[in-house]
Amino acid sequence: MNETFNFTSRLKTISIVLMLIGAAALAGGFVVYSGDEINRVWANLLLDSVFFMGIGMGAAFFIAAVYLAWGGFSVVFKRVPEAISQWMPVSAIILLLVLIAGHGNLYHWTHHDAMEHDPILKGKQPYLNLPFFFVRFAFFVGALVICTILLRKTSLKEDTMAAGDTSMYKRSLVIASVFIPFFAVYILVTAWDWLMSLDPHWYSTMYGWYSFASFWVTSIAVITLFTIYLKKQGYLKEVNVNHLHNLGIMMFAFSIFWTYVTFCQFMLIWYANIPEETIYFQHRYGHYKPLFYGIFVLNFVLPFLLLMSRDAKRSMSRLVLVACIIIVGHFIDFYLMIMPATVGDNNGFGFLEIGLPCLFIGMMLYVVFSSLAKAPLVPKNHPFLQESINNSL
Amino acid sequence: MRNKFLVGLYSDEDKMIDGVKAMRESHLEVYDVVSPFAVHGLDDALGLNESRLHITGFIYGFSGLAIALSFMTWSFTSDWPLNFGGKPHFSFPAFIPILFEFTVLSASIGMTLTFLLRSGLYPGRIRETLDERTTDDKFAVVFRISKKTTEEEIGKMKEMLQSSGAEEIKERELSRHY
Repeated sequence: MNETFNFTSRLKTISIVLMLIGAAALAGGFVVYSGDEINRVWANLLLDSVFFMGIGMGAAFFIAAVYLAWGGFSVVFKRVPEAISQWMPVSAIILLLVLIAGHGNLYHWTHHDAMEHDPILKGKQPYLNLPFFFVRFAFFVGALVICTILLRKTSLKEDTMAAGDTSMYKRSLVIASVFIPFFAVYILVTAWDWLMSLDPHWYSTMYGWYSFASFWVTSIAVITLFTIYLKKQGYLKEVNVNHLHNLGIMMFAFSIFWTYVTFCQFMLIWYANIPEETIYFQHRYGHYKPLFYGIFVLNFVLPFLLLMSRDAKRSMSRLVLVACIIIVGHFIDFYLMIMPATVGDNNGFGFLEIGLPCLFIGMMLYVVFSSLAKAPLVPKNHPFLQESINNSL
Repeated sequence: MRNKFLVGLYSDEDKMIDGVKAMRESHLEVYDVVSPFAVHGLDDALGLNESRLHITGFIYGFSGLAIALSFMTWSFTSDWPLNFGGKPHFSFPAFIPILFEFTVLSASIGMTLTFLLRSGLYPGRIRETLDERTTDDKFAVVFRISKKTTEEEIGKMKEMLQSSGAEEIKERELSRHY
């Protein structure tokens, strides 16, 4: 029960090599693209930092939601989402740097003359202005980063307490119940700020849920991948096929949730057929048509069919396959939120689009594995530990 | 046709599960277990195959989807084409909510009816109960006694029931779907 993850030098090398590839791609991007084309580099930086931060944030939400629901099944592999959530503070800093350096290239509304001659943007000025933009960032992301760090600390402290002491569990419940309301507003506000304001004239009330559904199912897929990796390496002996089944159910369910939310947003706009609203899909339908249909195949049809049966959810190889499909599919989903508004028809899948995610994956692997190595892989005094070990479906 | 059954009644489900496991290990064929609530781990102890009900659910759901899609396509495009706000007659996004609802409806009704039929339940059916206390607080382990069952085997069944903690052992004659 005292097993600790060993962050081997091989894994370190892999993550550092990934980081170097990504850094080279980024540097190459700044060299190759100049003038108006530089937007492509900024758009990719925004895409990767928002997407990978969403994964860390989703893992923190996973822990908080399980605490508040008094859930027991995830306790044996609780350190995995915890370690992934430790990546969130790092990625928040990266995103902040990208926004500070790149807001002029990314967001049309940051330019003064654009604001002055545009009555619609002028009406939105009380909300869409740079000081308030960064205040919102600091307020919501700061609060969630603090909650995430506290949740991790409380969980580690629980290990050192006497057996049967639930004071740390109760403290975690309090932190989680502070986390959730902040998170609820955070997902709406940040989706408007970072993604929706790329098209500053357009708005949709479903947008926050849509982007939340996307990164939430991605982080469940990432949790599944890390859990299966640790299991394959011989760690996490108490994790059995029933826990993986639960994760499979969550991937299946939230893929359907994503489809529901996405289709709701699309159908209302399609039905009403108001030009100011349909322009969003007009941009995504012409040049981006294959991707627009592709995400429905990758994020709905394939997970739905591949994970439908009970046996599929209990098979490791099937879960890994579907988790990879989901991660790629939702990366493309975020690509579709960002690219049409920033680079328009000049998009592409080049060295930048492939290389830059490597930078973020490398950093994420490094942070996650080093936080995994810092603490025992199975929490010790969690009151639901035995319930989690006995979990069966 | 009447069948003979040997019934052992337990009031503790843990003893009952351990008993069932021991009986299956000594190659006795447990016909059924009747319990007032779903007992965790009983399916594994009895060695039951996975239910095939959800496969019928998929078939009903898929048929519902196909029926709804073909009916809407037929009625909106060829039987009675109407102009709704200038949209094409075959407007797939508008069909999706109905497709979803009809799929769920077909799957749920179909599965319910299949389950009832398979369990021998229909309006007017009066079922014999194995023991009325199995609807309250008793767990019954049931063996079927056919013509081939030897006295020796019956003795062994009784002994196993007794040793695993059955409080009451009796023989009953019932129809196959008791």
